[in-house]
Amino acid sequence: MSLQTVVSAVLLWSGVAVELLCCAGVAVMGTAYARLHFTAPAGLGATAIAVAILVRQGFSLMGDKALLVAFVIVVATPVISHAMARAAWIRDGGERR
Amino acid sequence: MNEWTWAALALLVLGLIPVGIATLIGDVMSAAAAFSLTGPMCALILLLLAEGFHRQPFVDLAIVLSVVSSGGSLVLARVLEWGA
Repeated sequence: MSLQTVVSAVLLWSGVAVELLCCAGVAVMGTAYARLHFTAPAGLGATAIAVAILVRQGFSLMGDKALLVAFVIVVATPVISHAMARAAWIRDGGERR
Repeated sequence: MNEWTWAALALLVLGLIPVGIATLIGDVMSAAAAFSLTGPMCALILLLLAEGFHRQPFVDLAIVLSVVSSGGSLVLARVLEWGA
């Protein structure tokens, strides 16, 4: 088993573990604000999975596209969390700014 | 099955299904918060399946889904903000 395979496997299962922790947090928590704390770290797991593919494939078309998916998720998840929290705040009677 | 397909199966069974159940229960905003995680999860599952089955063109589905689901979640947040 090469070092490349080991590093790729560690990154892959680390990313899967992070994603599963995010899902467990969302499933267990009850309120929207509590759930939103667990949605933003999904970008971290996506990055680990994309880097695992990159380590295995190198900078090929597959590796580049995996990085693109991770980039979109990393950029989008905090923005979505903020937008959802803002919507929850306004629905709870908070001031619209 | 290889490690990529096992990882996709783990994310599908242990991750996406509990989040889907969480989406179905609770009030509207907590369901929407749970729903916002399903898009990235599905994109990652598609990415892992494409790698596991050596179908490189299918990664395009993950790219499109990650972009479209992000936009959809933002639109959903905006609609909920206006009291729908």
